Amino acid sequence: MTAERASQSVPAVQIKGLSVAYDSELVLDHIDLSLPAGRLIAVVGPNGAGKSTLLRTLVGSLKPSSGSVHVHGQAAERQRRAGQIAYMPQHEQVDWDFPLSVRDVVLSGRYGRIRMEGGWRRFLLPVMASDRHQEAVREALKAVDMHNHEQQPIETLSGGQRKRVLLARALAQDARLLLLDEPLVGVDRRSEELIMEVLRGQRDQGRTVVMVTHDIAGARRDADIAVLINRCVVGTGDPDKLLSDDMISRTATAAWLSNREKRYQPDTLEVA
Amino acid sequence: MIESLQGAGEAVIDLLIAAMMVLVNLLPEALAEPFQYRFMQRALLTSILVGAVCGLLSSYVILKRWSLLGDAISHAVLPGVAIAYLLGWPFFVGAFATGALTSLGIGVIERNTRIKSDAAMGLMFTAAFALGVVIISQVATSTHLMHILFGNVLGVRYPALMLSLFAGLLVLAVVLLFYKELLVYVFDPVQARSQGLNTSVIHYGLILLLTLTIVASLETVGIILVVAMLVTPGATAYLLVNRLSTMLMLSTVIGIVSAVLGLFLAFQFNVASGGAIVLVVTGFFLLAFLFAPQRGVVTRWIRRNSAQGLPKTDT
Repeated sequence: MTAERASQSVPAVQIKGLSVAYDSELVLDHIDLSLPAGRLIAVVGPNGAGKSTLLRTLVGSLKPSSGSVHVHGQAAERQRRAGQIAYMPQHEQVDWDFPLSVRDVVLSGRYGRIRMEGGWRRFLLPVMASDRHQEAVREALKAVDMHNHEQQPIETLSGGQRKRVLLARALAQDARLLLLDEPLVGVDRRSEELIMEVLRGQRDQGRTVVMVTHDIAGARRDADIAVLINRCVVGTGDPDKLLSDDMISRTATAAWLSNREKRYQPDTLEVA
Repeated sequence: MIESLQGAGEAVIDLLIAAMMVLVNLLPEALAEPFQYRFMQRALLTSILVGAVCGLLSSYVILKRWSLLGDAISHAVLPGVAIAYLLGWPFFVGAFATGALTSLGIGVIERNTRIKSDAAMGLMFTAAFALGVVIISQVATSTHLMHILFGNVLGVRYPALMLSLFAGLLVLAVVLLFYKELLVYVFDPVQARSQGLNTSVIHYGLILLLTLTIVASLETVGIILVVAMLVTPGATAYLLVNRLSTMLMLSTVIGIVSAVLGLFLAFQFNVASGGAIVLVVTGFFLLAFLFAPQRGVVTRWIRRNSAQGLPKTDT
């Protein structure tokens, strides 16, 4: 109990003085941010505000030009190796012609865990993964209602199904921190409701869910905490207050407009 | 030390050839006959090894979209061969060095300028190739150059065979032991990072394997045609299957069968072995392109027509 409380008080993500640049252009400018554990957090901001960049820095695919990122009180890279950071990309980021089945993709979320078993077992082919891992895959697929599609090639999936498979991959990893990049873009109503239900369920189990979204109404409805960013942190707090129409029009819109000219093609920057 | 190692290697190869010949002698005499010659036995073993290792790697080349990189490295190998020849070194030492250096150079240009990877590759590999042509024109005969460019599997000797064997075993071991890491890296590199994998090590490791494979294939298919063996088996398998594991196995088999069949045809019709091998593998690709169960052009056409035909017969 006390241990649990202690781990709750350590922030899930602690960012200090973080700057990230593409070529010479700063996309994130000296960010300080602390995200509490066990909450559902929406990172909101206009196109090119650096939302995906922030996520990719947490994931480790982008190197910050300065600053530090700690996850659960440890250097982020240690938490990555420990399998504690799960990630769900935007689905355009992945090649869906890849010759994999739904099950293959979700099982790849377990690879970190399989590696951690150490010894010769870490070299086993995925088909030889032990029951524990197979069970985790089945559970994750069930959670996103894809358990009837286990053997289906991923190229035949619909947009909403693709999102749910990527979510299942993240769930199968059984990580304390889930990072999701626009999990609700381009999905049908049913998938959207299902995905949010799963994310709330994860939060209720004590996990930290950080989702990047440009859907302000959705963030107000679903998130416990909102973080409004636009190259720097504009504000953090209660979604209803922070993302009220008044706030948006005063802080955010002003910031978006003033930044617009300087940073007109941020989307192309983030594709890299 | 080196000599005893060499002796052991030759013994292993003789053993492999003996085992292979047991199988060959089961074939009808007309097929088995060319392989009674010692040089044909060595050529057959080299072809099997090179076909297997190229075929296996070609799946990753296709999925990672590295065809052009394969082409680049294969051309970049030429100056290394020339320099090694000049200095009296084994050719594969120089070949590996310039091949690897060029792929690093491509990365350096990409990271430090606004030039994109395709231009960086085009620029680096033609430059390296030009250097190779210039050096070779000074030191070697044109037949020597022809053998490097187009391969001469009938003249393969022990060192090249051992190199092929080594490359084959290494690639197979890496693919089996690091299957999971390669899968995640090729499918979704960002996910690979989020699991704490060192993607630079995987990236450059894969490039080094590719370079080693190209060098090992030099004598069989040559610099110009090796890229066909690194692309076509994988592309063919890609049209036929839906699972990575089956794609890897199938592309390996396609590589082996093409190499063996090509060698046989080359002997029968007295044509260049490298060209024959590449034509056979291209033939396989054409078959898959037309008749693959799900994705073949003809198959889809037939299915479309019969699907359209059905309602008509109903009404």
